[in-house]
Amino acid sequence: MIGEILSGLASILSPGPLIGISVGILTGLVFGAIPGISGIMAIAILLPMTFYVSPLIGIPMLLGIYKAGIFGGSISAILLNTPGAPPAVCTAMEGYPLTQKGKAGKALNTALSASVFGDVFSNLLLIFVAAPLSIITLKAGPAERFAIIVLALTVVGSISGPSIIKGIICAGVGIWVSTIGISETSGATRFIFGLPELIGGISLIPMVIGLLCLPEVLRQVGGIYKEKKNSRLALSGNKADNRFTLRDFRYCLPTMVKSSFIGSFLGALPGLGASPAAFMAYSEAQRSSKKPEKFGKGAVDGLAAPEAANNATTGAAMIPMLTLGIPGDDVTAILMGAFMIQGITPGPTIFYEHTHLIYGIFGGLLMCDLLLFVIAKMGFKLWIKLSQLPKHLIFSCVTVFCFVGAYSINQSLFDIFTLIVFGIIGFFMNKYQFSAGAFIIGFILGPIWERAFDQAMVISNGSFSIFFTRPIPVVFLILALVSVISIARTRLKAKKTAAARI
Amino acid sequence: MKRFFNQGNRTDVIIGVIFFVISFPFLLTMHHFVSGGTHSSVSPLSFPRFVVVLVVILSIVLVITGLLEKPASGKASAPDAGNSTPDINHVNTAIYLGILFLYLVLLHFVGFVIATPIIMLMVAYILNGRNFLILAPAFTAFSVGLYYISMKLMKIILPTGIFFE
Repeated sequence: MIGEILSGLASILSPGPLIGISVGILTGLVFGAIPGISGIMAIAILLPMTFYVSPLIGIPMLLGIYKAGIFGGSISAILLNTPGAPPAVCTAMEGYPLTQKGKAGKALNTALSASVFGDVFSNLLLIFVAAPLSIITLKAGPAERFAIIVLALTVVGSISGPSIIKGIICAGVGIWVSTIGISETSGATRFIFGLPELIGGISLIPMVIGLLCLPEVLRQVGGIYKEKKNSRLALSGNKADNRFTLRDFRYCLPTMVKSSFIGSFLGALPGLGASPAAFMAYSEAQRSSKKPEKFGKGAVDGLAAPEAANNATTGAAMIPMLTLGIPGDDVTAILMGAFMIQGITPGPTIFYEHTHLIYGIFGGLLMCDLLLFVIAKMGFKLWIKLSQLPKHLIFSCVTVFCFVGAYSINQSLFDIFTLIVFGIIGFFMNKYQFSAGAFIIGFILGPIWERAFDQAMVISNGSFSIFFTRPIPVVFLILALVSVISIARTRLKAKKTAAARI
Repeated sequence: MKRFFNQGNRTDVIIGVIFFVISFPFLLTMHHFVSGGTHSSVSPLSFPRFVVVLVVILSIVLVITGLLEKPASGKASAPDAGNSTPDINHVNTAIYLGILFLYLVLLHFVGFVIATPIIMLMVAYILNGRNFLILAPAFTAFSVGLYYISMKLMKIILPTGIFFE
């Protein structure tokens, strides 16, 4: 076992995985740095590529995009006051004032160092926590798995959108859509409405690209178009304005450690993700800062806090996916899809059935951090130029990438039709505040949930009592109910407080 | 009727009704949409039925909560405010959707290499890209490059078009 772990960790040092990670990081930085597009779009578009390479290359490549995309989102936040991703809002609050003072280089270096710090922290947590936790979850039977997924869906559904009911409906409709095609237990074809293309079910990749990428392009195209004329940005000639010194590092270290804890904790909970982590870390940094009056005017610790926290969610978000087989957010849902494309089902057994691969991926996570630091630092001037690319170039290319991504997995024009349909659905979901992430998670969890449901039904001879007579499923179902009630109460209270203020 | 629509969150009520109108009849008739398969102790419809019942219940809850909710006084609710586009040019959105369908048709008939630069120019045009003398050759080179990269590196043959097969 230890030999497998060590050889897995070492396997990432071969040329293929290293090239894959570098490509992933470059892509993530480019997509993150350009306002209007994001790392998750890059993951969705490049997902089909993982089908053509070994999982040890493809999955670390996607992880590279994930991590670099989050940092990339901070580049436009710092330089243009335009957060490339929602978690970068706090980064813009401290980074842009530094840019205005001519210290864009210092801001970018601070953000990069804090991001990599948070990344390494959460990766180590993942490596040391996931495998032991999987020993416990390995003992779960079908009824327990069913109940765990109920809990995950209620948490994901209730958090990933402004309305609990809408979030759970999205997850429910995602599961419903996942039942289209052949039934795993009986082999019957379901809900294909005479379309033979639907026998294999709706393709994951065109659906994901349609829901995540096209709505953003539609939003940008439909927005009243006013291109901001930014003055040409450049790094300062004074080296002191561009450095994140050892003194700065020592000053920010307690904040970065605290923020990494916050990010890792929130990242490990299904449905939360990077945005709340960044906001919580920022407010905690301001509360505990020696110079709180500097916040909002370019405080380096104020910049380091959200950066460390939002990147610390990336490794931790994989804990529920690898130990329970539950994706915590839309990115891990797509990563789970990447595993499934390769015929690997994430869950506790992955540590025993694919030890070499999983520790290779863990090695890849650490390598991503190192390469992110090196590549991002080398290309600051390039990222500055990219963040100012005109929209007509970006979105015409993104449209083509979406089509190529959707077509490539089955080489079928029906998949492109699926892409467009889900693009339209995604646009209206955004407009009416339905969560595309919850839909995707439901779609991916659907077959796993159905398998657990069918197996439990077979064991209990079709009786639902199996879910209510065993202790562990009962505990999870009660937790699901408690989580829905407590979130509903919190929201109701928040609404009342807001109404009282008005 | 007018008073009814002035109360509550009208959008949620309408969406809830749409979900109900789709899911409830589907629940009642779903056995018509299953065919083939071997005998199994668990029906292929057990799980979908369970999920659709859930959706039906939640759509009713959405309608009820929508009716009970006080109408929003502002333009957008706080969590959404940051994400929404304040002014949407529906003409541009419709044109872009038309371009997407046109791209699908062009891919089928003339293939990737010819369809792609045309579509890219159209998308660039609606986003105020007007320097066609630079864009046209750049987009053509991009399409040809992408076609060959897909073919050589990923072994994916992008559509060649039925006119050229």
